[in-house]
Amino acid sequence: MTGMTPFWEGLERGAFVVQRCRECGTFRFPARARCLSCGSSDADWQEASTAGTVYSTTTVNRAVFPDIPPPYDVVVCQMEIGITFFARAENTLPIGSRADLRMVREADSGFIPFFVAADRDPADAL
Amino acid sequence: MNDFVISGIGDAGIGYHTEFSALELIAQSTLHACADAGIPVDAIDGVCVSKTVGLAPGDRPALEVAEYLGLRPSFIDTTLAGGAAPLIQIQRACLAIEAGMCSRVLVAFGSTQASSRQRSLAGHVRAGDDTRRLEQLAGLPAPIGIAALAAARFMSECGLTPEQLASVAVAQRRWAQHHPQALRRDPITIADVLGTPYVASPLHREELCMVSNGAGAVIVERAPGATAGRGVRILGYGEAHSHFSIFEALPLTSTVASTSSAAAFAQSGLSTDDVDVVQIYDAFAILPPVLLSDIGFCERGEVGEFIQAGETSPGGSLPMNTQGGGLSHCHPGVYGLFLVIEAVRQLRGEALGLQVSDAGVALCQGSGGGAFGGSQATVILGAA
Repeated sequence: MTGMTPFWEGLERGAFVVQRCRECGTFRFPARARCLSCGSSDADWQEASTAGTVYSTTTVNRAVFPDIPPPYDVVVCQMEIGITFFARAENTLPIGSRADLRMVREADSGFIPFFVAADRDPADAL
Repeated sequence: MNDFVISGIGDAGIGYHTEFSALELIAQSTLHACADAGIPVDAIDGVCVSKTVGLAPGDRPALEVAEYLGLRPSFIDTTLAGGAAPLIQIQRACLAIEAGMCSRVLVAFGSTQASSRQRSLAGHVRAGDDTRRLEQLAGLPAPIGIAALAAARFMSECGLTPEQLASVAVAQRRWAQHHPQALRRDPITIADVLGTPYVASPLHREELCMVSNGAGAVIVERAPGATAGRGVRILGYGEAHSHFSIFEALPLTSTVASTSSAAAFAQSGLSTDDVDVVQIYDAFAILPPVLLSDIGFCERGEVGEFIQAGETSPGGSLPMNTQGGGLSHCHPGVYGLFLVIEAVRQLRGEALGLQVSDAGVALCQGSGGGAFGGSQATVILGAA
């Protein structure tokens, strides 16, 4: 069992689960031994808000990973909960725009996190 | 730190094909460095070797190199900090000499990664390795993915244009054209660079360092060294470490090179105005603009124009990467030692390619370790 197990288990059921300090409520990702804000090592894991702001984006043009055919977009967002998160994106999202992290079920692979534009209709299938 | 010199330098195997192993290339480099320093090989009593490709199993590189050279050192170092490691090891050598542990320290690096084809865009993914799993989940190639995101952010926030980023590669090629060791010497234009395909936008293929073989070695000892007058003085040093993974790599538009260089300037009593030539780690074309800004040579919003105007090219006000850097000279996986070797040659007036006139002070910036420059080391060198 690794320190990141609650995240991976959450992902398996399509949830975004993040480590949170029990002392001061600060979220942190990936798992850490101590809170980056208050230093406490008392923490649990919670489902967290998936809202963020696009910090940067790149289009990968090579088949780097066998199950991801190029070209595809990767985005890094500063999340509302105060962490940084990287994920694929269905389209190029403008830097500075609001985004939402969606868990998308892929055949055989379980759920994959994807960033979409925040105003994307939740009923829209990806 | 003024009491220490780099008294000898050597290199070997810079190229794409070699009949020699990494260990043999390191040994050849060491023999050259010892001859240059005027010392016999068995005068070396300290050995520093960082991570290499081609040694097996590769987890005790200093011991493997020491044995192959017939040495029994009283000091070793195998610091792992990516491209910053060899510069860090130069300082560790000085500390060890100061502490009386040894007198003459070898800092060496070498790899046959081109021949071994051991560098992949996906890094080395291992099951159970959380950081790698998260990178794989996001489809982010390591290490180019975070560099691409850094370049995109730098363009968005600081106004760097695609032409200015391409001019980093063009400027360095101008130096490489005249350097006999450089593996890429064909002249290129901004249009040529922008015409190559994206690997991960906005980085084009010509804006990435190459994959080659190569080995280098330097000798560090107390001034003045056996061949007095050829020892290049270590004037100042600084290092700083900010992070390991991509998750702590923001803001991406700056690194702790600001901290490492401030310490080096303070120790040497010098400032950016005193620097005649710079050797800046350039695994990707975005790194020199970021690091030049961090160190204080330029404002972040003006560094693109500075480079495009030719200020770092031959004839410019701040000669940079005078051998061509990782983009044009070579890149065996860790380029740090080649920054130092070129700086020593320039300061001795013995440049293999174009010589910077009256080069008295050189600044070398090693970057690596954590994602997009989480470890930074600055070495300031002065002519003998």
